[in-house]
Amino acid sequence: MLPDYPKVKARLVEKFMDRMKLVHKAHLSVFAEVPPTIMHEGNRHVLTREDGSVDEMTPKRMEAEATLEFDMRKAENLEVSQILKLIDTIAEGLAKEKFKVFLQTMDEAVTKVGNVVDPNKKGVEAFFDGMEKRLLDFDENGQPGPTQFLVGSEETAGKIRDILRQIMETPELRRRYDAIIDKKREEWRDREIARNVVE
Amino acid sequence: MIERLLETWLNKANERSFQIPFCHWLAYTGHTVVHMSRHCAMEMGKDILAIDPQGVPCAYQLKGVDGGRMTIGEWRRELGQQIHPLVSERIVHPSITSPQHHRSFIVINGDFDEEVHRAIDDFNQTNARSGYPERKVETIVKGQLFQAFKELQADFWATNLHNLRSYLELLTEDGCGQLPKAKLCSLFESALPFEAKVEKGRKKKRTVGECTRAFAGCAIICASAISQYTGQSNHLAEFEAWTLFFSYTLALTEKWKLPLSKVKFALDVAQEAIYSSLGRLCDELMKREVYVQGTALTLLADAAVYRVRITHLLGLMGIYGFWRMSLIRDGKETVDEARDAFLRKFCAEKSKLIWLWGEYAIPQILALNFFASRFTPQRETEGRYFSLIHGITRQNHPKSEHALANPYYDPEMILPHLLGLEGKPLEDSFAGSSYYLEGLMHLAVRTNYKQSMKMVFPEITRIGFHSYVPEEPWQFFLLSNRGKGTSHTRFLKPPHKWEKLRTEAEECEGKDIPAIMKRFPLLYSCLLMVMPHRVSASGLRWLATEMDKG
Repeated sequence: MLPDYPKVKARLVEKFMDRMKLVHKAHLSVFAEVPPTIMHEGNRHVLTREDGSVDEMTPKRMEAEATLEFDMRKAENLEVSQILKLIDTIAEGLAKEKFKVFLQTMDEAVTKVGNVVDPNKKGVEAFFDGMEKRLLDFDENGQPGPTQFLVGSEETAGKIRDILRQIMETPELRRRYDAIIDKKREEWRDREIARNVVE
Repeated sequence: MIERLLETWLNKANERSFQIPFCHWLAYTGHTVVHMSRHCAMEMGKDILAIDPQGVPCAYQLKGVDGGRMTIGEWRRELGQQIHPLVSERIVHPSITSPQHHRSFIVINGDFDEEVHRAIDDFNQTNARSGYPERKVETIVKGQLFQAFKELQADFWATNLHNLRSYLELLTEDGCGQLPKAKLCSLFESALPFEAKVEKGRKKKRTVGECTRAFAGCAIICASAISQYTGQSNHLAEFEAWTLFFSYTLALTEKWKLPLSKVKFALDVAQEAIYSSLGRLCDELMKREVYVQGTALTLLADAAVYRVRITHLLGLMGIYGFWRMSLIRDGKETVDEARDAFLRKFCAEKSKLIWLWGEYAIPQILALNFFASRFTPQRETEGRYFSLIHGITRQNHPKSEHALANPYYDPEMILPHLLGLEGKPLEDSFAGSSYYLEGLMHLAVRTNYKQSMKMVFPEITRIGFHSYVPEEPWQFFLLSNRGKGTSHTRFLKPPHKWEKLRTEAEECEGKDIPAIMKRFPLLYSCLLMVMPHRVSASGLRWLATEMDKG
């Protein structure tokens, strides 16, 4: 074989992988905050929730492709930018795949339990319907936890911002909003009380 | 190549290293082995006692020969004094009832110098002239051991050359650190016939004969692969290696539904090896004034791992103390006041240094507790269950950023992260789940401290109880089953009624552990120390019940 320098190459590969993870994370958006868990053994996972519902999950394989076209005979001309582009493409591809799986899994889960917004409702009514259906946690002082919206486009994000503004500025709508929060707070309190041991 | 490897190991081996393979060879050749030395401080007399196929009792004295040849000086210094009792003193052992005088063997992993041969011959001649021709020393030397061991493990090497690398890597370790369990287990998985035999296109079950021979070969592979650790008196590594051997022996037994009586020898020898490694560790602790390890700068770094070591030692001594008590009760171990007092003192004093650094450490703390419950106030050992629950719920709550690692992570894997030595974060999250919490909750409920339980319970409900169930019972005994079986996460469903909790906590059938494991409660505790991820709530409840029985 020709002289090789595996240690330094391994370190470079490590750097490539670091970059891939960064780009991957950036494309995953809000889902990047979901902490990864390694499945050390087994080929399926069964989750039994507090309400007794059971879900079975099997690992899904995700693939992404990228092609780097260059002439091996001109390896000395391979530029760093080409390598980085290849890495970024793979990372983005994997992130998109993962993103799709996240959405699909969420969609299946909420559809299964009927936790979807009535399609006939629009605007503020659709927003309130969504709020009614979501599970909301509160802190020790009874304040609701932070809320995140995952939307498909900048236009939808703008619409939600407008709806929120409308609710906050319209006393009647604000009262309805507060009532839903109060109801959610009661539900949370009930859940917390249910954590206790009873006779 | 194979012969060179065997020869290299045999040349370097001390008597402890080749004792177990030698016992397996004796059994393979029709002997009944009734005793093997523990090589502990309290051990006296003959290393191995056996009955040969003709019913004649045999006593063996093993000696590791550094450098390959025993000189007359070494003979006089190291064996000369032992020959007379070996040959003349009657064997006292309940399994040896024959009135016939025993045969006496010196077994060395080298050769004797010519002068030693002459000294042995003189000894034998003198006895014969004095009217005691039966008081004769026979010898087994390296060449004979070599042939015997080669024969037993021939199948392994013939078909598993790809594992040569793992074997060589183990052989070239310095033997001072943690045992690379995955490497050793990959050797076991190759040495033991877990796959069916295919004959004329049909799958056939493995026979008892095939399996017992494989156990003997596997024992040689185990002893030789860990010889560096044995040479360094790395008692923990020996404990782990023979516990894994025990576990894999049960795996094959379960896989082919072998009668337990047919594998008894392999299991007995492994248990003896596990117990004696704990005994030697206790010897070392008794001799030491301090429990630090290392030299120069590594000694300075020891402070960071000191409590991890002490926690581990407490678990090991907990198992040893408990095991000793059981053996003494059954008349199989002698009372040793100093040793027993040391064990109690060590466990009581050092338990203040326990560090719950990860779930890997929990079976260590439980083993200590099972032993300590025999001599410390109940509130202390029972309170430890609540401390563990508090530790887990505090660190593994769903939003935690510093959760306790799950039991798949040993100290070498997780400490760099805990000590801030690892630049990159661990890509595995543990928040919101625990492998041990459910079992601990049940043990705590059994204490009947209802008010204490009420205080910790809301936090318990936030955490998912994690467990793994293999596809087939025999896979329970393997170190890892990647891609096979089911992992479970279960959250408690309200309402949480005290009476229901009590009923669940009292259940002790151990439904999630294979029936064959239940024949060896203490060994399940050992297994959890080596493979802490083989825990289940039902397993813990069963273990605690068995430990309560003593």
